[in-house]
Amino acid sequence: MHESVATFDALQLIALTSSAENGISESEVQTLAYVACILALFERHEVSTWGYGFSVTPDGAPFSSALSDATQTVCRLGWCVSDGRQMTITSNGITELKFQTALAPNRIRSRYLEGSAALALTMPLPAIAAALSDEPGLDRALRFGRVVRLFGDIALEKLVEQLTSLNEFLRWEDRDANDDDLLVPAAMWIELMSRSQAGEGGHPHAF
Amino acid sequence: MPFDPALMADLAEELYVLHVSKAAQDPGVDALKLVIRTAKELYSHKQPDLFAGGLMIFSSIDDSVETGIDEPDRQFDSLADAAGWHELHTIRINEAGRFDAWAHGPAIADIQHLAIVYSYQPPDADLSTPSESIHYPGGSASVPNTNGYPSSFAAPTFWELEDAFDFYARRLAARSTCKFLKNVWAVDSDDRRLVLVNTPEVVFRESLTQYLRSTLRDAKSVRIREEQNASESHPVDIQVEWQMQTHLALIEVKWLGKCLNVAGTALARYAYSDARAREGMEQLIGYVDALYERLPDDDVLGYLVVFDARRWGVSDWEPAEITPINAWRYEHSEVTYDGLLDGRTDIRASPRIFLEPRVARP
Repeated sequence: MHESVATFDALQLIALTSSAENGISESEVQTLAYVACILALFERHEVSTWGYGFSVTPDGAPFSSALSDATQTVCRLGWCVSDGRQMTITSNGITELKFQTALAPNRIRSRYLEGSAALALTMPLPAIAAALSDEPGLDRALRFGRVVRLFGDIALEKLVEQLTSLNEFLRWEDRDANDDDLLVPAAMWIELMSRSQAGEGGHPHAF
Repeated sequence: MPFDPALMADLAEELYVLHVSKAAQDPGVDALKLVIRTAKELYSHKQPDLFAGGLMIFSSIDDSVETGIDEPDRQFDSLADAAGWHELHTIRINEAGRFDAWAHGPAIADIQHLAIVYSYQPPDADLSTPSESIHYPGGSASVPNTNGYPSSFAAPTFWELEDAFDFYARRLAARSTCKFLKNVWAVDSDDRRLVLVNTPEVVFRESLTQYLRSTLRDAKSVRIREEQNASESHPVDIQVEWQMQTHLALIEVKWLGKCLNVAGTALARYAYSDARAREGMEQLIGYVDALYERLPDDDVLGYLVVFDARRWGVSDWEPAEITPINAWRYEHSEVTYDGLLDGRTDIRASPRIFLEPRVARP
């Protein structure tokens, strides 16, 4: 299952950033997919339901081997084209994405991917990656300086505490059906991460 | 640990996305996204500061509701075409996905109850950053631009470090536009930017590091050297590594000019001339050579970034009158490296950044 959801995620993220950002690199796909997973946790989904896991390199970047394979697959199948740095979607990819988006499990995760990709409208992609380094799981990995599996017990508990407090502050569970856009919690969360790096009274980035 | 409620409350007041969501829910956020996409694309065709009279972009929250505004002066199928219209001031993304354009558009107050509006005013003489806002039913919120970019929606990103340096030198550092660099100057009664604060290297490193972190694509890490933890493994000021590559950049930062003493009451007893830049180049060469020994399979490139705040004839704090010629004397005084770089393709002298004084040009 993880291959198919990872393929959908890669295709969707590449499509969402193809025009606004002129494409996206594999590491940027990893970053945005990670943020999408965080948004699913924000809405109280279990991390195990995301479909694939993340580990983190000693330098604090999230990484999924399933997603890495998927980005190569979508290019190999002609759904995306790469210039060696960034990938953009092709017309075949758009057709394929339309088909895959109609599938029920993908419709649900589409919201999280769209929320994540929308961040790139208001914040440069490198800044999103830089802000993530204070996320509890990534931060823990940076401290220990080794590859660790993300969403392990301690880091997950801290992350869930943070997301729960944000969920309650936004009264997300009580929101109107017409008030559903995940850019709002994504923007709050990434800015809170960014300010954690800058220290108290840090500078707002973009929103 | 949960997020601090007071911090979240403060942030909620600042974030325009939240204000738009509260005022107009998902249709408002959709309109906001459309407006921002349009701004970003428009700025890719025409730089923000070329909109000398300002710019406005808006999108209706509900296309079925008439806005009652005048017919557009022009209509365009693409933003590239719209950007070529010299009189462009206002753009609306219409329901057909085309762009209605006006030379003098509707007033914000006349449309913000029905639309999400982005407004841009170029920087005035005293400010180096533009004024940008998002207007929504019932209010407005400013768009922060702490890095001092030409627009918050024209934030640059780069694949190549040298392109990043070039933009930084020209657009952010030369006039101390970046928020960090605004604090690098000792402020005299006329704020002439003649003398630096004590230990300005801290500010220069922080400014450049934050800039690289938010602009360099696929950078795995941009690390600043901690003063108290300087070690052999990280002797340089800034180290950049890239994802999925064995490429590594070592950046040494040097400044030239005069600074205040620790107490801030007088000039420091030392001042730095171009000899300091040459010292920095020798240090950098040493770091690169040492790293090659440890990591022979990696591609290591060294960069020296020189912030030049030299002024001629400044000998007191606060400085006496200075002529424009003396204030600008070093604008074109490039540093020479006396053969240090001969045969070295792994060491780059990135542009010396002349930090402009606030004194009329001669």
